[in-house]
Amino acid sequence: MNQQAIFQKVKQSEDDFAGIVNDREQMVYNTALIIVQNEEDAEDVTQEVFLKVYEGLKSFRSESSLSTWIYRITITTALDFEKQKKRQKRGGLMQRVFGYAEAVEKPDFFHPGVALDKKEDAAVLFMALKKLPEKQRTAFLLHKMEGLTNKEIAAIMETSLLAVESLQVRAKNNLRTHLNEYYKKHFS
Amino acid sequence: MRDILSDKIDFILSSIDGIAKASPKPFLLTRINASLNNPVAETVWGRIAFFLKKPIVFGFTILLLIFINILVIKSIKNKSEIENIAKAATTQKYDFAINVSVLYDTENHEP
Repeated sequence: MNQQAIFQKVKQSEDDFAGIVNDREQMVYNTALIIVQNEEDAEDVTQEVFLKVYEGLKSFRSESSLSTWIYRITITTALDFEKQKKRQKRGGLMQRVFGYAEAVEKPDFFHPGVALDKKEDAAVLFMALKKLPEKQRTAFLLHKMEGLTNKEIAAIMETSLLAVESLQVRAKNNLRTHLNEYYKKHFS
Repeated sequence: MRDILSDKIDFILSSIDGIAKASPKPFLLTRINASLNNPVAETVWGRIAFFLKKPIVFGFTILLLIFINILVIKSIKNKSEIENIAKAATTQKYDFAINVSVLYDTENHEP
């Protein structure tokens, strides 16, 4: 292969990657945002996801669709990021023990895409979502926020259709329980 | 009350229906390309920090510190016990010396 051909190939792969970023940046950012619930963190996760996509593109075998593969990377990266952040927060345990700071349960994430009149309610929902197990939360959010079908969610989560349906039902029930507790605790 | 709460929860659960998509800050591709061209160099300190940050290492270090503390406290206790015994022996000796000298003085008057 002469130098011109190598240059052409590199240029082609760069164009391909740029196309993937432009087409899917919103998808990745929104998925990351609903998991990490912070705009700056979601930016970091988005960047990290595309770095992983760039590195993984060479070994990507079209066993699943590109979107499914990118969704999978996004969810894993966002959940890992969240765990890391939780671990760092645990460092503040001493502060809580000695009473410097109180762990207060309050809605603190306001999604930029929610209508103004629903912002407060959505924030309460996002707070309750944090308490769900990872799989239930993923299945619920991908359906509700990303509008994916159960079949697509099953492909992303590498599980069966029945399992996805069950996860969604359990997620809804658990959300109801958490919201019930929250309102009884704060408004009774 | 239960109905009002139930309605409220239903309302909250539907609050994210029809949510608009958020967009990342502009020039994401430029930032990604910058990261690809300038990967963060891994330093020795960075690797050490990464190792120390692991929960198992952190936990082990704390346990080791507690163990060392226990050892030090025990050794101080032992040392003070030995010192006390030595002190008691010295005191006894000193008392005996005084008593003997007093007896000697009272029994052997100067002419």
